[in-house]
Amino acid sequence: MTLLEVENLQTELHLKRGIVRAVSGVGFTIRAGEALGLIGESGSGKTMTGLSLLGLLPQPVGRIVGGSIKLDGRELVGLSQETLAREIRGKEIAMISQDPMTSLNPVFTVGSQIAAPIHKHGYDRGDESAIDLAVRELERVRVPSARLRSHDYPHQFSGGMRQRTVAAMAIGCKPKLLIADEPTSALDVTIQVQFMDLISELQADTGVGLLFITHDLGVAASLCQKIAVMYAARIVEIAPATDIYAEPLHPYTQGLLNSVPRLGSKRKHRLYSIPGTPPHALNELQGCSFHPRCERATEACRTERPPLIAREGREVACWNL
Amino acid sequence: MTLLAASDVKSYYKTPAGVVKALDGVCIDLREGETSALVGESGCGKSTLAKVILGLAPLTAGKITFNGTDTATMDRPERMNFRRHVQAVFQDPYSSLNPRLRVDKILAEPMQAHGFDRASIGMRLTRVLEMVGLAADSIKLYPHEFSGGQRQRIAIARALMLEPKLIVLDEPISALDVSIRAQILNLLQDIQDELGLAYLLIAHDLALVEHASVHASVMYLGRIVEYGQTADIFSKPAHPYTRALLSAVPQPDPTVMRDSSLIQGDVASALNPPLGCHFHPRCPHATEQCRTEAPALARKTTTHAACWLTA
Repeated sequence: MTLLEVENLQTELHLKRGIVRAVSGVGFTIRAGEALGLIGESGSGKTMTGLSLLGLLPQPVGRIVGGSIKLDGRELVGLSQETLAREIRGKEIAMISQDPMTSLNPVFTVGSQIAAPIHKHGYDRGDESAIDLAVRELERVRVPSARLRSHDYPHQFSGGMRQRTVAAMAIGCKPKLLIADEPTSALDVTIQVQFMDLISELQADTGVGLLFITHDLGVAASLCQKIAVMYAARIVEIAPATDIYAEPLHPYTQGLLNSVPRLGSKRKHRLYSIPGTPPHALNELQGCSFHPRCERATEACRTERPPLIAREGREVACWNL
Repeated sequence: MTLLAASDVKSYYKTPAGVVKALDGVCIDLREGETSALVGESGCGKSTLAKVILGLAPLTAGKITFNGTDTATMDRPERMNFRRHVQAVFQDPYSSLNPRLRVDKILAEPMQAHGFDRASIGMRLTRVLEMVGLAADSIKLYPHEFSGGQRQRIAIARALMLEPKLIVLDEPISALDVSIRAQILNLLQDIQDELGLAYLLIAHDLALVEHASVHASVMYLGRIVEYGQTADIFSKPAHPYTRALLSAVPQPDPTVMRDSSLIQGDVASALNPPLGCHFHPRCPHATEQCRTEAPALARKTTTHAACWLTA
């Protein structure tokens, strides 16, 4: 069943220097229990896509100017901030961001911070208090001696435990959709692997849909069933994970996958590198945004933007397939 | 030939909470023209070792020699010579370049400090810009006018100005965009091929270390737990920590299953490291001996590892 349906999403940032089209015609779907990896470099619009879903675009510059976001059939574009705060954010859609140190409040105990959204959205009406439920969530994310540790402040936790606390906070209200924006980038690999296991487990337990935003092709591979690659505010390729890693079709996806060193590859010398740099957000290019960096660019690529074209269960925006 | 050797290096910090043993008896050998890597998770001491080598962190005990000369007893000319030949490139080119200086000034500074005249600085500048692939007219610009990748090129250019023999690369690509990383990595490789200088590569990314280095040392909580030829460490890791690290690396291939069973828990605090082997609380094979006695680095099948259990 389709949980989230994003269609032709257009998000702009109205800055003094001009209008940045941060998200331009992005569309994807996520089913319950499914994980979609949204991959891109900094400035590609992946985080702005996530923030658009939550209605948390930077104010007053950010706004959704077109498209539709449907969660379980309900249109979210156009809802007031109050409605979003009361009915959506933290309740239906929760978020885990990159740095647990900034997403936790240093002056409140861990337990009270997990309990706050549970209480706000009224999940503590049964026999158990919000704190009891918070301790249960802490146990679920495997914080040892959860009852005792719930009285600790964030600085008393290790980095990995902090990020697990943020996860507990996110799932406390049983959201339908979890947005994780680079949740493991601040973690060491041995902590990262434990956190990824935890996310998979939470997904299996609760059936929550996951939008996993990352620049790390490796992290996304182990978690996501579907991958969408963003470049310059647009999705250039979207496909099942097994297909895209085995046979990337878009030249940008190919370049990305070829340019990262892999464990066990004996090739010692030069890596493939994508020439040039990502385009500037303020000047939108004519044609395909990737054409100045693409080895296969033709006249068509320079003049006309390729649409996402469906083929064999995947979609690619490229004229040269 | 050995260019720089660190033996039994200790570096302690006093903090209000107690003494942090950031480095607890570390040895490393850097050979001319080769890339050696230090790999480990945050807090393992890899950056501290780099800083101690550069003279930016206290050397509490132990010895560092450069071309056979002890750095602690160098006279002024020897020290200037050492400083000239050992340069550094740091992780974040947004903070390692002075935003108020133009590129020509940034690049000229190291040579000015070493008393070179204008003409030779100018000549070297042109040469170095060409080497790192920056346009000649970029010297009139300020760092903020460059992208992250170009800024890292400026940082590399600055390190090259004095024709060093060793460059310490502290996470040189982690702050860059994925599509730019390979460009910088290839550039560093080209420079090494051309100039024959040595790199000390500090990284947490194991795939990068495997790709770019000849020798590697794996660090854990202030100690080296395994070292050897990079190829041997990656094909036949002897230390349980190295094995766990390797199994935890996220690979861009959904058919590869990661194995999280080889490691549990968090890194212990450096303020209060565990007795015995520092890794024992997280090691699935730990025995009584591991809990009480720290193993020394010893020859294993192909590498050297500090572990009681592996032969």
